[in-house]
Amino acid sequence: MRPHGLSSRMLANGREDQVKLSEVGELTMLLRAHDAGDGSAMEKIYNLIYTDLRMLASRQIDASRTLSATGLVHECYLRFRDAQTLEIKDREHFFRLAARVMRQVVIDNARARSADKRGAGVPDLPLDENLVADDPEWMFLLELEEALNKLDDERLIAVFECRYFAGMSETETASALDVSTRTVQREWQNARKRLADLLTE
Amino acid sequence: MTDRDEILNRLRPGAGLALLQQSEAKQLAGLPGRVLGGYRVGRLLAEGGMSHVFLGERTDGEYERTVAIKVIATGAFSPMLRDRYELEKDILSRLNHPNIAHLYDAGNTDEGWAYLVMEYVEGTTIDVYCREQELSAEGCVDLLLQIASAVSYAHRHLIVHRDIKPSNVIVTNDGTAKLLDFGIAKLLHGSDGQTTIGGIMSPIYASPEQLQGNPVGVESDVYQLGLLLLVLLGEDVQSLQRPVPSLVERLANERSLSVSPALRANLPTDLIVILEKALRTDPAKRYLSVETLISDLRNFRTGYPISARPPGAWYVATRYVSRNRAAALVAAISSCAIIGVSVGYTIELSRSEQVAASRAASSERMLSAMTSILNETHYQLIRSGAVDGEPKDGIIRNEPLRYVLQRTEQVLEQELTQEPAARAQLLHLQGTTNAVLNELEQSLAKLSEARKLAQQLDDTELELRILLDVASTLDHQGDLPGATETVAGAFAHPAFATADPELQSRALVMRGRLAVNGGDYLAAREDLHKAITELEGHPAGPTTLLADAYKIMADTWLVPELIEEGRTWALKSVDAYTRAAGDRYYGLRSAYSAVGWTHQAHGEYEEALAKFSQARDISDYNFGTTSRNTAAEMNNMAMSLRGLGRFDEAVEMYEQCINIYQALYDKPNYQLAVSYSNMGNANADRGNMATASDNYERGLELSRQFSSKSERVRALLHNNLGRHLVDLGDLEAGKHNLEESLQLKSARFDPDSPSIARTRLALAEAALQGGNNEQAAALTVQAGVALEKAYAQKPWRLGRLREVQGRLALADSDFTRAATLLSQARDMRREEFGVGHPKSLYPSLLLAATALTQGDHDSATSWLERSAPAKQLAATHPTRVEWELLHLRTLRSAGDTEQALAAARQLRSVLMTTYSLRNDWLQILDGVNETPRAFI
Repeated sequence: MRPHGLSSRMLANGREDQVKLSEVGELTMLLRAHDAGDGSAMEKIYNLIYTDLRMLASRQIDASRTLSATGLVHECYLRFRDAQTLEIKDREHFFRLAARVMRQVVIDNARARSADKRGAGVPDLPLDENLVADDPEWMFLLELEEALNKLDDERLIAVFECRYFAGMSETETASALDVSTRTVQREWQNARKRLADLLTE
Repeated sequence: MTDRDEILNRLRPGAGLALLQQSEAKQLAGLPGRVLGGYRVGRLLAEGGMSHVFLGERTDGEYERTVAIKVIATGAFSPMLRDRYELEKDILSRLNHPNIAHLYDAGNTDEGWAYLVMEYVEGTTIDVYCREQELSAEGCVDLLLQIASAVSYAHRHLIVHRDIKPSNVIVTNDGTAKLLDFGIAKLLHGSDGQTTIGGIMSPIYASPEQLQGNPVGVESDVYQLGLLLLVLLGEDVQSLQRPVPSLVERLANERSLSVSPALRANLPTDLIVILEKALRTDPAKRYLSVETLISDLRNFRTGYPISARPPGAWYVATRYVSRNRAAALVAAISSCAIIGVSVGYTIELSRSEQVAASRAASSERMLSAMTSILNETHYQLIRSGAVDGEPKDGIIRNEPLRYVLQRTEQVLEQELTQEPAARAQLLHLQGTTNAVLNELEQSLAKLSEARKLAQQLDDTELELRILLDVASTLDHQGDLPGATETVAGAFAHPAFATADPELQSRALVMRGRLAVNGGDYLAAREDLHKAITELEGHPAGPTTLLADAYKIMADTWLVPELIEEGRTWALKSVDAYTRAAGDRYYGLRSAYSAVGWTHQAHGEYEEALAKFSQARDISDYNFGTTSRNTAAEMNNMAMSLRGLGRFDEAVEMYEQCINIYQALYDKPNYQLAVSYSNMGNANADRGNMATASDNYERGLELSRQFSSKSERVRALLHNNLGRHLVDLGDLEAGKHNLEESLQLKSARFDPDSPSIARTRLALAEAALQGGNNEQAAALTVQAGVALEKAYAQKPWRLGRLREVQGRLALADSDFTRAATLLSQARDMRREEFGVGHPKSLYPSLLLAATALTQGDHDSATSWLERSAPAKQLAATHPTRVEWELLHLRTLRSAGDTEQALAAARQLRSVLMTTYSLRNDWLQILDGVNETPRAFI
């Protein structure tokens, strides 16, 4: 989960004197590998930022801490050692990916919670009204995920992920996806409508 | 509202994230009443950024204990980390400090959340406490010191906190500050010492290296303690750290956090300096440890000067450290064993925990400090390949050692104010470096202070090492008895028998060195042999200590002029020094010098000159061109130049030596005395007899003004002066000096040593000149036995003996024997000094005299012609005078009265001014006693 793989590769190359990682960090390399069509790179990026986003999200349970959702992704971004050296293109790429990862985080959580409810639960956990009341939320998220998977428009999905799961603003989304704000507005509305259609079928 | 509308409403920006967060909050709310690891979860006490803290109590009712249960509602641990988690938990639960909230237990809930059962601390968070109590800056510092001592304690147990922030410090009603969550960050994030991805810490309070995902060590806690203090003092840290882009920019440019202008106006300058040093972006530029920070904060509180200072210009100098220089540098300070250790630790140091693991707090600091010196002077630069080649300016040119000394002093001042162990080590390093630079008084002062500290600390090993270095310095100072006593003290130390073998060897080498100086070569060899046996077994190859031992072993043979054995050891020492410390190590000076001496002793003056010159280069490089060591090598070079007949250069070189010595010392010392005496020899070579007399007298006069380093020096001075006086015809004074020298030599040297024999030979020459042939013969026989034995393999060294033997034969009118001996002498002298050297010409003159005494005019003229180069010598040179006298005699014997009278007139003025006491010569001049006194 941490950028150690690179470090040990460098050790193997005999550059043990170099304690710090090279200027081009793992994230950059992974992003570029992904661009170049390396399928496994995406998985690695996921792993890299998943935990981080997960924890950052949890930390914001405390309502008094008012880091915005954008701050969440941004902060995650800052944690990568090469974040400052990431090129603009890679940075946009990162935010785009982070939004996708956030979707994963949220959906995974929903799956886990509903699994709890379906019997894999905890023996001494007293039946809690809150949890029961929560149930429809989990179900909603899982259905939403199903609906999202039915969409075939990548840009539409991307805009939705940025806005809904990562809470990014229109401007940020536009920047992350390298499209105009107007496009973001239009696609966001389109996505909502199409998803609402799918969910009410 | 339709379903569709409701769905559209749900699909609003950020709603996905919000659902996640709500779900977790609700999940947590269900925790009270459940049992976690033997504790029942009670009411919610606090919600933190990432965790929820519940009250808890034991379920078994065995004893009452109220605890705090902290639940970290995040993603689960990877199973891989479970074992590690258990281990860490055990370590953390052993932390026992009044300012650390104790950890009782830790585990995972069924949801996979981590929970920690901790000591329940009732009170307020430290920032609130400071505000409510309206604490002064001093009060805040005192409170922070409690926390810092807890952190320092934990560091000694290899635990770095990583997440020091106001909400983690609770102050109880009685004013005790307690640090929560020790090591939790690591507990939750595995073993690798990094804690960034996963973001458990609060970004506002994260150290720069945490934010950048770099390895995190004790420096991170230093930073966070600094930041905590800043918060307590009223700084709005959040605004300092925001906005985020400026934080990124600050990190990218390695700009350090600075105290805001508003707060700055209200704080004492020292406190600002302390804060800003703790808060530097580059971990290496912060306080090297929490103890150093504590020390400065205490100094601030008690009004002592603090250690933190802005970085100085010295750093620039490090750019010019070249590879070789660096190697020599490390070697130079390796006499302080701890340096050797710290080099090894440099790589490790990036993982500060390992340093903490290996040493108690004080040594860790010391190591860090040492590592800084080494880093800055060479290590990083070499490794990064940033430097190579020669220095670009004069900053440290020729003086890397002095540079180390200065750096050590700076570190001492900057980093260590009170901490005695580290201070002792650094003082020791300073003292030894002082000694290498021949700053003997400073060296003794530093070492004495270091020794006191070592005694207070009960650090016997350090004390022993210091004792040995004290002895070394005393020896340099010429205080042989003091040095010997000090070394004896080390051997008698109760801890010596069980000390490190390397230390024992060091002591043996030192005692060997002192024994050499005291003239006890057998004892020296015994000690050195033991040390060498031990040290040669060292798996890492030769050390400089082994090279030292070889070198001193060489001295045990060279000083009594057992050249072959001496050269073997001297060459070994050159090899060992080079392998251990590179080809510019300062110790190589004396090693090259020793090899030079063996060449000198063999009459290989060109080779000797080359070695001495190498030795001088090493000295120039390490000590500067006007150092004592450089002067010593110039002395040696001058000696070789004399052997080569380059007298003017020799005199010039002696003059330079003398200038150096006079600039270096305000008091006379033996080097100066010896230089004068040697310059006397060179001046006599040039025929400047009067100047030579002055030189000799001056040398001896100086030797009376200092307590001589060793009586060897006095023996040399008396010998030189004695021979000169004999040359001048002052036989009584000459004999007196020679006898004095003989006595001094006999007390030190083997009776058979060539050195003693040479003085005897000089006495024989004096006796011959005085007409006391029997005494001369007796002395020559004594000297001859020793010299023949010593130079069995080097017959050409017997030239002077043959000369004297030939003169004795001549005095006995045994002309055939005289001619044979003098021919031998001539060949030997020519082989040793070359054809044109005055010493090579002299036997020819004696052969001429032999022929003349026999009445063989033609042969005499022939020998005179062959020794005609003597006419090129100065009019006052003894060999020139001898030639002129013989020439006079041939003129007379040829009956050429007119020319003889003219020659006699010229000679008379020379003899009257310079050789008024040479009765033998004056008699020849006056034509008295032509035949009976047939020697010259």
